[in-house]
Amino acid sequence: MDLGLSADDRLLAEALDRLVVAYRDPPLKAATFHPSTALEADLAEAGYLQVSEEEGLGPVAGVLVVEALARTPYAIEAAGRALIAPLALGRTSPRPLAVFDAADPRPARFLASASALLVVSDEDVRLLDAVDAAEQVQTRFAYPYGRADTQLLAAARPLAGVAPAAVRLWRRIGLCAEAVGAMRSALELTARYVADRSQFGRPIGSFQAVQHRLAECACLVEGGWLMTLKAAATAQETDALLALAFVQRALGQLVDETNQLHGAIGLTLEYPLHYWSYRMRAVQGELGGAARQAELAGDRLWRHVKSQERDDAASAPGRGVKA
Amino acid sequence: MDFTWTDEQSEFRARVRRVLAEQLPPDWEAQSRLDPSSEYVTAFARRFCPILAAEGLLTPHWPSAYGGADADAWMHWILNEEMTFAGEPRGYQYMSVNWAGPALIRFGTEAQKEEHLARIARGELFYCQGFSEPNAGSDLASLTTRAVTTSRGYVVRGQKIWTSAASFADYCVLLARTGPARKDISVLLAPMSVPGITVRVIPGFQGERAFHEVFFDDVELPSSCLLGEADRGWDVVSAILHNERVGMPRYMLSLRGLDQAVVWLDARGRFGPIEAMRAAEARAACEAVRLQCYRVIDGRVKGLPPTVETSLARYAMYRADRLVAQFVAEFCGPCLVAGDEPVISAAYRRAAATGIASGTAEVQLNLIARDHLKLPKAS
Repeated sequence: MDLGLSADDRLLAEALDRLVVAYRDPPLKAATFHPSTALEADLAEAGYLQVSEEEGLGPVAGVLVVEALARTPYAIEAAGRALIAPLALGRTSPRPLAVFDAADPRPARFLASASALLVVSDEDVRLLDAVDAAEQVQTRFAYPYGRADTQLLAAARPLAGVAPAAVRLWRRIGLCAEAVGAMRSALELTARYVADRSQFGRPIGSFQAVQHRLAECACLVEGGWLMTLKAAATAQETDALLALAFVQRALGQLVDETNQLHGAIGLTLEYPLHYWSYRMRAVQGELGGAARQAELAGDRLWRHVKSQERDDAASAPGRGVKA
Repeated sequence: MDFTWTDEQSEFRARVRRVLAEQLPPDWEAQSRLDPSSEYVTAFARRFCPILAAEGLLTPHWPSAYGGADADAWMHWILNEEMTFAGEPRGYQYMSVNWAGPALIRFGTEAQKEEHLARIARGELFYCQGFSEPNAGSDLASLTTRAVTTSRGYVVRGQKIWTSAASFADYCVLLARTGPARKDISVLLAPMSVPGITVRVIPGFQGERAFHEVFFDDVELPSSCLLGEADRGWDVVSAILHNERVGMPRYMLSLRGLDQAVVWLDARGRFGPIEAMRAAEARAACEAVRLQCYRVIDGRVKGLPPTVETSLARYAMYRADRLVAQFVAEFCGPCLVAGDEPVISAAYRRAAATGIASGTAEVQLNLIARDHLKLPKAS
């Protein structure tokens, strides 16, 4: 048991912190999200999206990268390239990797022309390694979104030997890391805001009513982060399910509190909170949200109890959980 | 990062479990009700703790010079996890070994160490914590129990409340005001047998003898009772609270209660998707606090100074315990009413104190706001 980062992971984390600082400020132009070719170039040069396969590094390092990038105001696809491609597919993805899961059909984040598309179902995993064009979905949800229409889905080719469960595992861990990064930035921004903003002759952050709500958020972020790291280190399905259940539940609270404590300014495109609050909202419901992860986790955790069931109860309709 | 146990740690845990399996009677849960304050558990602990001592499992985390085995904080935590899971058969001796002894090792005089440590390490002594007063709870530094210096030592007058184990403890680790300034507080080791101490049990839901009032009517104590420096008791308190806030892995009882609740529901054909979902959310909170506690222990093992992680972990503990209690309340009502599932009832009952004992949840949030989020001081 060692809950400190390894020396290599720590060096990486420090380098990532510097990168986040360098890209801390969003462009002045108001938009729901910003790509960044400069940040992409820096990532490519440093090889950060390949750390999961690097000697001495690994999945924890991959999670550090995804979390750090989610702290920036730029919408960069990292979970697919840094976690899912190397760890579930056993390959690199030179293009941003969008994921469509038939169990959770919805427009796919980062699906655009020049991206790759991974299609997951209960039966198999398919890949379209170069999307020519994808219909873009106009949304406020702080990411580029594309529609995985029948044509794109049909163009995806099966990947032999890749288990849907492996993709879902690393997808969940990636979602956790993205969520934690967004939560961290939203919380930091809010803590700074309430320390600066004065009403009634004092910073509103000095009111206990405000402090306690943010402190509870901080507790959730730290707990969620440790669960994310553990899931990455163990690569166990139950750990990933519990982590994402916890993190997605926390997201609701973080969205509400960081918006609420900012007042009206947090609801504008002129103030950066929206990058993270809409990112948090986007991740909150992916793969069915906290309730769905928890239901699946409950099934895995207590299956041994259920397997002892009497025969009559086992056949009772509507009580089982579908995988 | 490494989330696995070493062979040595796993073997140690297995050894603790083996001793528990050998020593706990078959009707332990029904008899003990998992209430460390009960007559039954206290009597059991008087037999059990010496056995643990003989097995080297009472104070392994103490320095070998004082009857320990220099085991690191991981081993200590594993021991605490298994004891909490078993329903704390050490009774309130867990306080003796977890924070009273370590406070004596750190702040005690040679004579005090001589008087106390060997007997704690043999499993003979119970301590109670004379901290809270009727008008000094979260604002502990406002306490008014006074220890007036005399030629022979101190004369103590005042009242303590919510004191666990006071009616059977051998000593009270007592906080008393010794000077004019707000933090002129000293720690005194008061034998509970000295004249002038009156103890009254406060009946309640946490356990048979979980709460007491303790009255000090001109109690004379020799100056050798002073632990640490006079007027510097706050240093001792801070060290004790750090060990206490992340001292008992309460989540182990919650995890066990939750598992038991699932078994109870399933046996009635009532563990469906809704129950699975809610149980897993409670379980996730337990996993979070477990890792947050591990982070604190990791810091202790590496010799790092205590940080705000202690408060984060303690608050997470409060949250997780509550979620489990809410699950049980919502889905296992009949068994709570009947009281025929001691483990489920204990998890439910004990959760009510998690946010109150050793610094309220609100105090933890204050500390997180100040030290973690760097928010401006509340005026």
